[in-house]
Amino acid sequence: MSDRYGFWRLLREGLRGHTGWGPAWRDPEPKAEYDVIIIGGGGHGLATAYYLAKVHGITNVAVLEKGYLGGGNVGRNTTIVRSNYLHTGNELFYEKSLQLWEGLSGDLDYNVMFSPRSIINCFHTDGQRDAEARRGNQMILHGADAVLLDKEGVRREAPLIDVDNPRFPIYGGLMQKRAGTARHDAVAWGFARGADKRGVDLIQNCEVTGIDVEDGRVTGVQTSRGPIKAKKIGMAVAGNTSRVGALAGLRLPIESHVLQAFVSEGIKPMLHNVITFGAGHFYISQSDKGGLVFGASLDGYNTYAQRGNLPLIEHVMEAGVSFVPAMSKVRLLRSWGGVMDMSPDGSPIIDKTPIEGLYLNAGWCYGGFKATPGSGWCFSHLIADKPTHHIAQMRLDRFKTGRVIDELGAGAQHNLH
Amino acid sequence: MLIFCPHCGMRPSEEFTPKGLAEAPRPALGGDDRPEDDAWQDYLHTRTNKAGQTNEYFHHSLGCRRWIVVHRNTLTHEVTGSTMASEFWQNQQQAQDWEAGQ
Amino acid sequence: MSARLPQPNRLDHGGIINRDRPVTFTFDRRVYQGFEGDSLASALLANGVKLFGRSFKYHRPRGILGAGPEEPNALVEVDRGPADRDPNHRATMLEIYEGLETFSQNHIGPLNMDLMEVNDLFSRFLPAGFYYKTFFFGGLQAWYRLYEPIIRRAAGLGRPPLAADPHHYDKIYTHADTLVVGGGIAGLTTALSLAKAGQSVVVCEERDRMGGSALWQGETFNGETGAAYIAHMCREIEAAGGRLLPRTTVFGVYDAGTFGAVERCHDHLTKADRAPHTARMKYHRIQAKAVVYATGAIERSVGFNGNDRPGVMLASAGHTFLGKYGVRVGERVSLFTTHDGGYGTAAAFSAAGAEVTVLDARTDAADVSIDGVRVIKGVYAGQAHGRMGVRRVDYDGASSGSLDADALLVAGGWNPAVHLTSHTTDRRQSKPVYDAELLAFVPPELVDQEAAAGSVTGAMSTADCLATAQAAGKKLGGKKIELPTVDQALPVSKPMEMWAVPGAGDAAFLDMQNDATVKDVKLAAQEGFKSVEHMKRYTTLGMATDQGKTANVTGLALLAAATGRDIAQVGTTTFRPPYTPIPIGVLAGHHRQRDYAPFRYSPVHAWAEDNGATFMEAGLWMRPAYYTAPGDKDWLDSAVRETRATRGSLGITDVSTLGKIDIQGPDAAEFLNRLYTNGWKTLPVGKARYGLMLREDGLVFDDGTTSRLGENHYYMTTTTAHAAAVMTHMEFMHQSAWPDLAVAFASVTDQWGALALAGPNARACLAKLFPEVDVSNDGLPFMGVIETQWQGYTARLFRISFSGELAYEVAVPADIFDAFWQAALQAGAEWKITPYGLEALNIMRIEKGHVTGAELDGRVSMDDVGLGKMVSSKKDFVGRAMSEREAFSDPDRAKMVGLVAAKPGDKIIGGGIVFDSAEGPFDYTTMLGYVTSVAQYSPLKDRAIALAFIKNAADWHGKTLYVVSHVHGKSIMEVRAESPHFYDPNNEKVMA
Repeated sequence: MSDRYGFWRLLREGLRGHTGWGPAWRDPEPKAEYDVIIIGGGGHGLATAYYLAKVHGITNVAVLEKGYLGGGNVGRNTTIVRSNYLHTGNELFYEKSLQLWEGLSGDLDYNVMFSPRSIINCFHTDGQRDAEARRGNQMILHGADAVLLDKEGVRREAPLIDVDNPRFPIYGGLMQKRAGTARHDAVAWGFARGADKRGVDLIQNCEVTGIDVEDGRVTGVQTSRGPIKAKKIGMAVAGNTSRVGALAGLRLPIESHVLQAFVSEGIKPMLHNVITFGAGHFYISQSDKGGLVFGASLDGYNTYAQRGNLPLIEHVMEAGVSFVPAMSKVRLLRSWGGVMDMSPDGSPIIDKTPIEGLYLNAGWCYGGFKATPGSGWCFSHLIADKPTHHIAQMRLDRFKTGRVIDELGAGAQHNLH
Repeated sequence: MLIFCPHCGMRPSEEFTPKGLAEAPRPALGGDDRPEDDAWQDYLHTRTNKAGQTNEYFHHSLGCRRWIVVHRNTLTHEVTGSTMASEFWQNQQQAQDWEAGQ
Repeated sequence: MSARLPQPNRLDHGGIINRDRPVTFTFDRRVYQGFEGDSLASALLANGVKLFGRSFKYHRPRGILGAGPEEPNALVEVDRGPADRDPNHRATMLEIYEGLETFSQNHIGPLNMDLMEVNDLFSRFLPAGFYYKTFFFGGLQAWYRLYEPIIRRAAGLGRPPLAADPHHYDKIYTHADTLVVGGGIAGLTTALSLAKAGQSVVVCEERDRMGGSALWQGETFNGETGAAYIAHMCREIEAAGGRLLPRTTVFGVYDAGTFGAVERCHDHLTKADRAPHTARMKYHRIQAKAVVYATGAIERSVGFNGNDRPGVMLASAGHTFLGKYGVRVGERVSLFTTHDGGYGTAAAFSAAGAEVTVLDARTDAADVSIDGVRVIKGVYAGQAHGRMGVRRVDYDGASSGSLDADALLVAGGWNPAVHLTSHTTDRRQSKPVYDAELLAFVPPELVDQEAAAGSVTGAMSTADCLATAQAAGKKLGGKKIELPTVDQALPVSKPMEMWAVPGAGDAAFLDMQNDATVKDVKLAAQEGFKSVEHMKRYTTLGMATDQGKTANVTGLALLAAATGRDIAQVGTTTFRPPYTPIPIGVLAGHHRQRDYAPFRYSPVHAWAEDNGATFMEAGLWMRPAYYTAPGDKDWLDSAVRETRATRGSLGITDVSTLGKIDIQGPDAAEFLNRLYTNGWKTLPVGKARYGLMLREDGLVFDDGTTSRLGENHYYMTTTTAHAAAVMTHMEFMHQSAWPDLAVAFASVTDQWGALALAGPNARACLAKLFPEVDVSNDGLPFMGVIETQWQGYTARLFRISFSGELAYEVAVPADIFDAFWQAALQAGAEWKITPYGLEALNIMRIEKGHVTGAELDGRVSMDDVGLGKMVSSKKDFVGRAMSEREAFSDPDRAKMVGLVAAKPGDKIIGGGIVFDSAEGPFDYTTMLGYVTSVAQYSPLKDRAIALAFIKNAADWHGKTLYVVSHVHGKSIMEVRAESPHFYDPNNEKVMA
């Protein structure tokens, strides 16, 4: 019997007490050797394994996860999906990723609830409008979509936004209609189930404690569940990139910082779009469950702890009630923090490393969630020796060559991006 | 969070602006280091980024405006002390010299 | 309404409510009465109301489960109207007041006939995670346009307010030696011990008054009633300097002894009693050296079918309504217990005249004889019947049968409220540990600055709780205090392990709000969601507004059983702040809307306001964009008029917002040499120089002029936007890299006001203002600086120009700047001096080819903006090394160019993209560059001009290009490229 999901299957299982649902993935013991090992069972690692199997037919693959699948930043983010970048180095990649999102639920046979409810980046000055117009134009030139809204356009789209804000009035916004949100856990689970079905071993509670390098090339890893050999190893451990990289002797251009995020109690729909406010570095959307999901900037200090402090929390709430005044009485339900892999230019790295057979997927800063399918797709190509143009500029050596991809123009300071 | 400023004492963290890890000093003026060399890369980009005890630049921007290097644990957030940035690299050098001499 | 209304379930006596003060309120527009001191829950229960709301997923009818912050079911909206409406209040925490209006939420049709209950009929098809497995048909558009909107409308609880919050919220920094979280008898005992030792103590109690269950449980202390004993203690604590904060919830623990707390000041008062301009709530950021967790324990239910029926409630809740409020929730009460504690409640109900049957799950329970109470041992509640309220309870086990009942109380054991002890901080990273004896998670080993007191430690009897309080006081340096003798103590024992009864399935609820059932947990395990985090996320157990206070431990215990692991192995999910939901607005305080960020104003802001200025934001500054004069049609008209007046005669503009830094010391020149790309050692006293600063990554950071005022004295100006960043950068470089340089500097931006006089008559005007100073071309040549006096105050004259005209900037102390500005206007009157704003300045600087933030966007190099010549080859400086990286000499780099519209009236769009063809194809491979700044009308060119960055810029000079903007309806505009220095390229005017 097919184990595909769908309405009829749900009906059938409902009638027989749901006894027929099998495990979404196996719980295999690690083998002694694989063709490819992916370190990190987060969104990117699972997506990489999925596309290795699906696109390249490479199925003798293990994903090694020190905790539980999807327990990293894919399990703790504000779920925004968009491709509204300025630079070719980013936009080609994120647009590819957005296109994958658009077909992802069907592809995975798992409803990841990607919902193209649009993003609006509000701007507050003429200068910012010109910068957003340029961004919108460049998005379109890279195959993405963009609409420039004036003040009334923003008001129409999102009536609860205080466009007449007395401190930072909103002049308009750049809207990407195809952008939106998704159900973050489902993304990890969908990729996990899809990879598992194609033969990938997903090995949880398996911490990599060493990376074996001989004569400049990798031969395998040491783990809390014993040594495992492989000639190709992909690292997708954003948040812990420096720690894992150090196992292979790599020193990388990454700092770890905490980004806090917040969700309110469930309420009936009040916001349709994803909205950002330049003046407060604030972003907000409303989940299908009814919670307002929002956040702003980094706390700023280096940390590996998944928690932040009150000054940033106050800043976020101040920005929130300034731009969405009606949210003042809505109650904050939960706050949390994720560890961000901050790169010096705010853009990611998907590249080979100086060690042969060791591949790096890192530096996602705030933006890793929307990248999940694109990252997996591109990283799998790189590992399969078929690198694509989408990641041509996401090079590890760009800080030496100066070919940085600096969306904000903030310069070489990790916590400014 | 509270941050210790050698000049002002224990102060709330929002008086400070963090800049990032202080892992390598600025290469000497007029030196031979090329931009792709470790000296420059370590100063600007590359980080050990330890999970544990680290040194981190903070600016007491809403206080005495001194740059300080805060000794913090990135796993626990515990602050164990801080040094004026103006003395930090000198002290590091002395510590290394001392270790080399041992 | 003064007439007394009947309250059928209210006893004649008992409780700590004020029976002299009846309170009239409404629920779903029906009028009810309770008493002062009632919660909405107790008052409605007193009136016989059982149905309070609907569950989130299946819309099952729900009543009250708990009596405190743990309540998952009874959520109500308070007040009416788009601004006042306040959703998701827990009825158990909402204190009633005269005129209170409340409404049930999340149903279609009346509460008792909710159409959405159809979900419950189909609940067998809607198991945990069902939405991941369906809604594929029709693809993305069907999901977004059809399925998801239905889900979104159905989801959510209360209706959100739709207008700004009219309330005030205050933010307070509260300091204490020790913070005591929880003002029950244990917390108060510890607080008293510490206060008597001279510590400053703050006690935060979430409920409306101090004392917790000791107030009403019926135990006596040294022969006194609980209420009297608590009152004594409170007086003693306050006499010793302690602070008692009722209605104050500590919501989170942060680093270095920082705690967040919210005090509710208004919500319990009648609207008339809420003093205007006072805070509805106060957010306390508490800094404490030590903390006592006296947070109590929360009772848990047991999984059995129908355990969510209205009328099924926690035994402690039933006991609370009886003891605290004098409300008897049933006449025929079944009480299902797994431990001795149930008997105290049974006795209390029996004494209140109820007919009580105890279903004790333990076969080996000791015999207890209570008058009128029937005890059946070895049985459990198997099924509760009664859709809108319990009618009958089936029991099973050692014997089976059925009981008529109008209330079913469940005593499933206690979960210590360890939430705050698991908010890890810099002090401790350990998490709560499972005590297999107590069948509960208890706090981990605490550090020196922490203690726990009362039932949060796992202590059960009041005497044991008091002993832990004494120990906590001792640990934190408190004085020993005599503990009272507790009489009429309630029975306690460890519970029997029973998380769910045999046969519990899809009608046995764990998370009542989210409708996560015993069966859902098993299904999660069956589908491989074995990590506790997976189970939580898959079933949504514990993700509702109560964050699983009554559900989590039971859920993970059942997961442990389903996966063959120990509970300790499964562990808990992460507890995160806030402990209970808090309004977003209270954390924002007053820093909202207009007061979100401060405004910065120039000293002549008021003058500008009075003279027709329209302002624009520049960071925090408000700067005049243009001055509307009579006859001006629009902003461009004003700007062009100002430009013409300046170019033709004399203009004046306020440049006070530019960053100003005073630099002194023997190494000042060396310092500048290292900061700027160009050389500074040769600058003579009395001269200014334009300087370019790079960031350390080699890209352009900022520009400005610096003047040498004395041998070792310099005055630097920066752009308005980067003033703070430049100052910070200088401090960083000086202190971290070059501490040996003998230089000191300070920001003097706010100390000086500055204006620019520009235009052919600028010199004449300046001469009038400073008649004793030689301002001739020889006396004050281009880039010359003179420090002199104006009416006895220092004045600095700089011959510098941003507009491209003959121009001077004059700086005087900010205090007299307004007077000086007026004097300049007077002096210039004969040349029709015209104030100009940023828009006119923009036209003029674009005509001149000067760059601003639009060009210096943090991504351009010196060469890109045509300033590559400004590099001294003889020295090192910030950014030099990195600017030698290969990408900087890439021939493909876009460089600055000027664009001129093909004909008058054509608009060039800012942010437009430059192509060499009007036909396309337009894509990222064919784009040449982009437009950064536009002057929609240049008087010089009689048409629009712009600055842009394009590849091979110099090659395009004199050629036709096209500016294309897809986001402006794919507008295509023909332009001609030329040098960006449109106006006076040889600087004849500025040197004249």
